[in-house]
Amino acid sequence: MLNYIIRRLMIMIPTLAVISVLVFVIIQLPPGDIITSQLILLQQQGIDVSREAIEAMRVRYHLDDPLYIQYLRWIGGFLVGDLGYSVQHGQSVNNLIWERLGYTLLLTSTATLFTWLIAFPIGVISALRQYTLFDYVSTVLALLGLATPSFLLALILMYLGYAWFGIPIGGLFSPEYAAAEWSLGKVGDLLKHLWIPAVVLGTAGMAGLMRVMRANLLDELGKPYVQTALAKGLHPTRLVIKYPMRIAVNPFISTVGWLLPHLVSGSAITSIVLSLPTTGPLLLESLRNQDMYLAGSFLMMLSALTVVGTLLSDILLAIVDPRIRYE
Amino acid sequence: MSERRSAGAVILLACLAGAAGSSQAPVQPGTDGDIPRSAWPESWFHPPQTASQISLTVFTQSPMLDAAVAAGELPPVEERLPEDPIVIEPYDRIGVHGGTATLFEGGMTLLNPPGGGFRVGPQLQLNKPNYAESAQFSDGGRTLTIRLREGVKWSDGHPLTADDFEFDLVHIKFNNQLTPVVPPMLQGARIEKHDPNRFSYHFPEPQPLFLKKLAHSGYNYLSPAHFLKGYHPAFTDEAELTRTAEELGVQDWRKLFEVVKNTGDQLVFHTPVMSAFMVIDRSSTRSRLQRNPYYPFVDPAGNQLPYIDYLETQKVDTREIKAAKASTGQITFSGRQFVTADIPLFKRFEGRNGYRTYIWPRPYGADVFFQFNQTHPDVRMRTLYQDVRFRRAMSLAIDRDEVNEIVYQGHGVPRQMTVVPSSRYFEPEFARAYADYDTAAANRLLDEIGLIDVDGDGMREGTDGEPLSMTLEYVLGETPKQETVELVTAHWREVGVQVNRRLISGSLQATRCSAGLMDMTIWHGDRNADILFPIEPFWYVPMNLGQATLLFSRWARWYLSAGEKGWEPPAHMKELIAWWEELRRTDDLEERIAMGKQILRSQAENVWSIGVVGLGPHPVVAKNELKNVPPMGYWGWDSWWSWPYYPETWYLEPAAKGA
Repeated sequence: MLNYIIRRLMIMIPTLAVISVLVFVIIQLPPGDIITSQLILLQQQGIDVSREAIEAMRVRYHLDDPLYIQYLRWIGGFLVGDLGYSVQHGQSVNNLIWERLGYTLLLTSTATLFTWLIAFPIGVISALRQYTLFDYVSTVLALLGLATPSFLLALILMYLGYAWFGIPIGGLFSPEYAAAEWSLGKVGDLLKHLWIPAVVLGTAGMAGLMRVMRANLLDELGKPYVQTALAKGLHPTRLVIKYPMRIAVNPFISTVGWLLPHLVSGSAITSIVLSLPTTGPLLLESLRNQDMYLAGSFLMMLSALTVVGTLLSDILLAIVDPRIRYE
Repeated sequence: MSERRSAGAVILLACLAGAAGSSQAPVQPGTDGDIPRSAWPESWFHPPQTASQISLTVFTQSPMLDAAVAAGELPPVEERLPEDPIVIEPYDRIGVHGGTATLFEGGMTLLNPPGGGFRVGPQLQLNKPNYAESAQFSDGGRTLTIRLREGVKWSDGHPLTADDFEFDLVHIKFNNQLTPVVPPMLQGARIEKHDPNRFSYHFPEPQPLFLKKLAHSGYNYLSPAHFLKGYHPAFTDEAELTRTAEELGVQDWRKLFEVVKNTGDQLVFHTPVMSAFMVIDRSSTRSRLQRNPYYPFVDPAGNQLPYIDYLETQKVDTREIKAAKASTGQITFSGRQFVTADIPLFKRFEGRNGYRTYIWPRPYGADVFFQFNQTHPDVRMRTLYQDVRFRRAMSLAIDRDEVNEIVYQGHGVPRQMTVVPSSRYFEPEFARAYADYDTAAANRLLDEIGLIDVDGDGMREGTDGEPLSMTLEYVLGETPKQETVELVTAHWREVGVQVNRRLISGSLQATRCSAGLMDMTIWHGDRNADILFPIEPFWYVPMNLGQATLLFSRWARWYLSAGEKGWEPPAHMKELIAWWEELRRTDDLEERIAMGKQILRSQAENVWSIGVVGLGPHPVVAKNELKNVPPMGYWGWDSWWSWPYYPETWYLEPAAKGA
């Protein structure tokens, strides 16, 4: 097992190196660069920009260096934890990202918890009570949730939240708490706002999980070992929890690693609609403005999380399911 | 993708809103979109009076400052105000101090304009002294002498003097690390200080329009010298500044200097300001501003302005959520980024949610105007676009009334692209030129050029019989561009001209437009009021290269590079340039107006830019407790939105006072 983990970790290094080159090249591909956006700003102020000025700005941001030098400078900093500077924000990328990461993790983990708490039991009950009214109704609702664009759901919930409960639209805090120190009241206010994005983000993933759970469990329920256990007099509830469910959760575990990158980028559109201070909108904005270091560091972070997450999934799966262990 | 999704969101909100209500503004603009002078107090059209002129001797400060004054942290109000405070008459009545106003982050300047020594008048023509006392040109426009009022102070109590203008010019504008390009008007300029309150700009060539710059963005030409010296390597050790920058996580001393200078930025250094409010707290999602205790203006009763004590701003990323927040009464004053199509939404909820919706016209010659690339790299296209008959035909083929009805509910002004009616350069015939809907005439002109439908598919072919295919590349934003483009390309199809539409990204627009690689593009016709038109006649004279000016790009490059690059313009283009050169150099107002009218007459005859609907209605949303907001005003970049209408005199009625 240890050998396996070490081998996997070794493979991660070249994988990430290749990804970093791809990320760098892809960001440079579209016409123009961050200087273009800065120049647009100058021109809006009625300042004519000459070639010399453009040159000066390029030198200032090292944009005239050969691509590989730019790449090495960026990746070199990355290795020692310096993610570079965002030209657009005039701040180090570290500053920008960490500020938003906390809220992002809070939001996405709440949403994930919400999804699991609802999708698991419903999936299990639908499988046990296949083709009943409960099965049909829950399936229809789940698929509706999957089919509704999350931004639309966010808008509707936001409107209802305002119209029925008077929750101010957008943001994670009411104006009176936004500036306040942390207190019980502020936590309460946060919870009051958190449910809308949590429900919106959770609903989208619910149907998938539910159907997978149902299908897996149905596969298992028909197997001879279940018949045997029942025949031997094992209580049905205990039986389902102890054997078929353990196997049915395998697909979850093998995809649990994907949650990691999702935690950082999954909520972009919902966050933009709801004006949440998460990382998603920042990533989108940096890509649109070709803010090289900010966008690049984000994408590298996402890639690293995906690679690490996949490894974690594999390890977890090996622990849970003895059948697929190495050796 | 997000644009498409946003569009869906707009439709949803619009559906929730339902039908439009009715407007009840007391003064209505004329049919040409002009707002009558009676819409504002007469005193706004004159230089402000001072306290001594109206025998005002007693001054009152906001109660929130009483404690600080009593504790000796602040001098009393008489000492903080200038020797002779500047008096501003509020729109409606004398207000009361106090309260907190809520704004969107991007709309912070609506109640806190950056200001300047001079101020734009309500009809965007005048240029009035603000905290400067007077300005005088001499030496044929080569010397501008400015007198500051005695005792005007920065928000830290330090007096505003000629040093602040000199520091800005010498150590910021002429420092090539801080300002890579010196703004054209300041090239070769120098400042001569006569005494702390009187100084002269000396220009190598006449710059009479510089005063307009000072009125429009005067904040850009002065900096708190006493404070910024501590962050400038000419006065402070560069190694030390680099260390400070590193500690704060900013790139280098230049960036540090920029951050310190711009108090709106995330690190707060309590940089002194001249505006009505100063930032006291800030995070990535919100900021809080407090009144500037040294603001040099008072109302006619002697109350120090502004009336409002605090501003709170919220960062909201999307236009739709801004509209939703404003329409649920959560924002004291807003309007930036709203669009004409939001009007029904705001009208629908205004009674229930405690706000009013004002409709202010945008001072745009055209909300959307079309430009053909007259210096197209392909000679076939270039010949066509340079043909005045083609541009006239394209203009005549547009059904402007239909666009006005569908996009503006009939509240815009169908017109040709030209300056706004309140401008001194305006003539009614400029707005009427080739602006009638006349498909017969359009067809006749197109036939005359030789664009004939050879293969009988309803679409004209080029003069060589080959298919004629044009692509309109454009970006959205600011005005109803998508709707207008869809309607106008349909009108053109009716006279047999096929124009394909392609929505592109902002940076692609910037690259392709300034390189002159597109067939045609659109933009919003700002810079059409008296403040900016003479300085930046982008849409009429080949004098600018950028993301928005496609029409003359290679000729403009020739002009801007002094003949080194681009293409040499034909005689009539050189004539336009000559007129503009004359306009911007003469200090004789008559002469200036004559030259401006020549340029605009040429536009009217040649339709270099094709306008559709101008002076479009813009929704401006104010909570009911916010008083003194004039129901009419011009809404746009030319006027810095609220700046001519004295937002420091707007106040919150106490019953609704915030924390």
